[in-house]
Amino acid sequence: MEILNVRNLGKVYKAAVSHEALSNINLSINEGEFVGIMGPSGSGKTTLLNMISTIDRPTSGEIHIGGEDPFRLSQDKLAMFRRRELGFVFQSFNLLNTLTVKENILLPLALDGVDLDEMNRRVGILAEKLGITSILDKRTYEISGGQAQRTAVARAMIHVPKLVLADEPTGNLDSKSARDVMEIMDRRNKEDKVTMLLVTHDPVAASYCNRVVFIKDGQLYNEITYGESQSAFYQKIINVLSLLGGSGHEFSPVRH
Amino acid sequence: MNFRQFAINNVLRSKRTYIAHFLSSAFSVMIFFTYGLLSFHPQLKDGLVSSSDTMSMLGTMGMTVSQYIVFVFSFFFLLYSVGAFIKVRKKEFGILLILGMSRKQLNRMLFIENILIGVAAIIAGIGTGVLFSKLILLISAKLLAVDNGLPFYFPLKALIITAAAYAVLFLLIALCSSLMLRKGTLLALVKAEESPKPQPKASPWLAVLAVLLIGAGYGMVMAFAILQIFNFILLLGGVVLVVIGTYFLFTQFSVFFMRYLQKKERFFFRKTNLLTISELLYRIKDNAVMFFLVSVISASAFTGIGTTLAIGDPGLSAMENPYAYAYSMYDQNADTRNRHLDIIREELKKGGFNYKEAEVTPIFSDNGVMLIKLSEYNSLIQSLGYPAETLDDLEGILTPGTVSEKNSYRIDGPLNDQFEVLNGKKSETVKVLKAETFIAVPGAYGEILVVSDRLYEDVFQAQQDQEYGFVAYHTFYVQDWKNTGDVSRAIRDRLSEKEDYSYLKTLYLDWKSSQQQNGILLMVSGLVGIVFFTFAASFVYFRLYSDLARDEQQYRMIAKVGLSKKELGTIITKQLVIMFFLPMLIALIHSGVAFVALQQLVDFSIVEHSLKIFIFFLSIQIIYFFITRWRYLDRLNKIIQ
Repeated sequence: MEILNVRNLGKVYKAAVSHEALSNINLSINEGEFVGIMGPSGSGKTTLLNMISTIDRPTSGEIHIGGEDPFRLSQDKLAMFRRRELGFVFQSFNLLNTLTVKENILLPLALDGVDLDEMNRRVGILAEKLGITSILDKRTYEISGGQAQRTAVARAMIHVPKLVLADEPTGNLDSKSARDVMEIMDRRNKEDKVTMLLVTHDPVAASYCNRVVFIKDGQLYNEITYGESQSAFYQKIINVLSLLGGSGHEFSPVRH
Repeated sequence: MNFRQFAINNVLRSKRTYIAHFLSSAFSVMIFFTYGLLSFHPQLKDGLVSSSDTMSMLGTMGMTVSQYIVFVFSFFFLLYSVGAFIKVRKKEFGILLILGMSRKQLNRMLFIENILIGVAAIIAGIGTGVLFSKLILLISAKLLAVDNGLPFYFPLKALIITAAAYAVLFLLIALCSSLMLRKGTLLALVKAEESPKPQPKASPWLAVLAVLLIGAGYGMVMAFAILQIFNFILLLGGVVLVVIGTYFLFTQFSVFFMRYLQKKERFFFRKTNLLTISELLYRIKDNAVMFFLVSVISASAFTGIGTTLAIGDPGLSAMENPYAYAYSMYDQNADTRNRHLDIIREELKKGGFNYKEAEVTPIFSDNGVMLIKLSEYNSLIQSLGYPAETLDDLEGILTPGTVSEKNSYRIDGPLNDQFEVLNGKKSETVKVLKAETFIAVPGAYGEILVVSDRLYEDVFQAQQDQEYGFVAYHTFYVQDWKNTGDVSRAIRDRLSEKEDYSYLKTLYLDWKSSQQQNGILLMVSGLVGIVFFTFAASFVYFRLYSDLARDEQQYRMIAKVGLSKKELGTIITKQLVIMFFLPMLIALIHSGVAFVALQQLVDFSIVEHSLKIFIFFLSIQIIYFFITRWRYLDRLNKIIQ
């Protein structure tokens, strides 16, 4: 089943000199897929993600998530849509520091007025899977970056959304924590069939995906799929990136 | 965790965010409550002890008006502080909205938070108000010169009114805070912190103009006071120039000065100066309008309180009339007159006061010059402790009848060297020896000429056939007049038994009545001044708070480059000192000039009053500064570790 469908999407930033950030993007993601979006700085990948996240509006084209066009919804319906159908993971975690880890995770459920026992049950299960059971009662400033990002992943998945969107989830983490987070996301994708869309610079992170889409200058450039092994896929990604050009220092050297 | 718990946790776990807001709210509740406490006081309601109806009406009106002022300012103040919070928390709201919080839920959360703080502030404000009401009653009784003091009572009415008024106020604020978030897209909310600020600019011409305007304003006020040009437009113009000058001082001159310091590399690149100055540049530019308001408001509060304090000074009443009692009678019934004077003597003796008597009968020459006999004048000034004067036949001394005349004698000397005195048919020319600079003749107005006994008698004889007689004043000088309260009241009661044509001017009662009137003024201006001042200081706190998130990031980064805790402390302290004390300093200079001008107009020294006010407000500000500095550094130090 198709979860995400993007048709002829375009975005123009109107200013003294108008700038076309994206043009004519087509993208389709099926249920259970784990898709990465890569591209050099300024290629428009974050713009694309923002529009899929419904926090920015496209100037042309359409987005359907689970068959629904979120931009046709009223403000309240849109809030409901985000709450139930989407999950977000950010580069800077964006956890609320007034809440404990547990409270952060169950926030989407609390907003939705889910029954207390049900909330506790779901948090318990998910925390176990993500290895954060021991820090559930800590405040956000007491935990490490890797733990914070795992908490954010838990928050993005607690309400079983149709689509989880991740914007550079490993960008603020060291390589060990980055790998932990990617492995957790990968396992949720494989075991629970969570559909995920990932924007990243990091070829290692991208190598966990089933499929990687490359964007250059606001347009689709290329698309590659996972072959027989992660390391082969990693190599393929590196090859495309070097073909893509961009600035040389942008890609980290081979880490495997 | 249900939704309500979430909102409550939000407040309880980020206490620092709310503490300044909460404290200021509680403080404004307390001040409002205190006003209510006084205006509903059973004893004050029936009029202030021993005062007229008009005065107690005036007092009640003054209280009501300032109650409205406090209320209105509370509203704007609370609105501002809520606005500051929302700005700080924009990102948080962005995250919540992305997670799928509906606008309705967000509004509900803000509403719950505001109500929570409101209820807590009302309880805390009224609680402290009740605790300190005894103290407040004591102080206000002293200020209002209510001799017997005010008893403590349980202020149920004030309590209910305060609680109700602030419940409505916080409800309004809660509603307004939701409105503040209406505009702005989600993306703008999330990125709120990242938008950079432009480099501040200033015009050197306007910077120079600022200094010139303030100088010109000071000059005009000084001209008003020293040269005694009593022209209202001159005074108003001076104040307006200073206000405009102050505005440019903060918006232009301060930026210009900082930019100048930045160009001095030898200074700018030295140690922490680099950070201090560049941070300050943004801070001052951002806060220029606030600084301007704070300093103008504080300056007016200082000057207002200083002036009322000076008016309440016993020196002011004694300046106009040095005699404890001045008795006069309009018919010539010697029996009544002597009986009245005996009553005064008797009561003074009973009270154990030493007194010196004198008597004077001013007369008018045919051409309208008021004349005093030298021998009578000498008895007057000797009772005041001055040495006797001697005059030749056609010599005279000018003595002032009013305060403004006295001032003009002091500054310009006598305006005429000689006076024509028409005496029946013949005219004589009196040579003026000098103009005296103290008031010695009671009940007088206009210029008074002291002449030789011979000339006085001649004029007196020539006037004898007139229908009206001249009024004689019998004066009692009491050194210790400030303690003659009981004696004065007893004399007043005994003299007013019967209808007659006598009049007794009592210094103590005049002083009390002017103090009564100005005590109310003083209290009102004092409390309003304190409220203004606290609000102003809280503005600074809130500005700091809204910058804190940015500062944290910045200093965390700088700490990595190698900034010690001590250096951080120095940078922050320097910045805070300027933020807290720059507006204060300007306000002190402004009101200092006003006090110097005021001093030209009165005889007694107002230095003590001015110093008292300065020290009082300065110490409050210093306490506020240290608390803020402590909390701010504490917070930053935690971040840096």
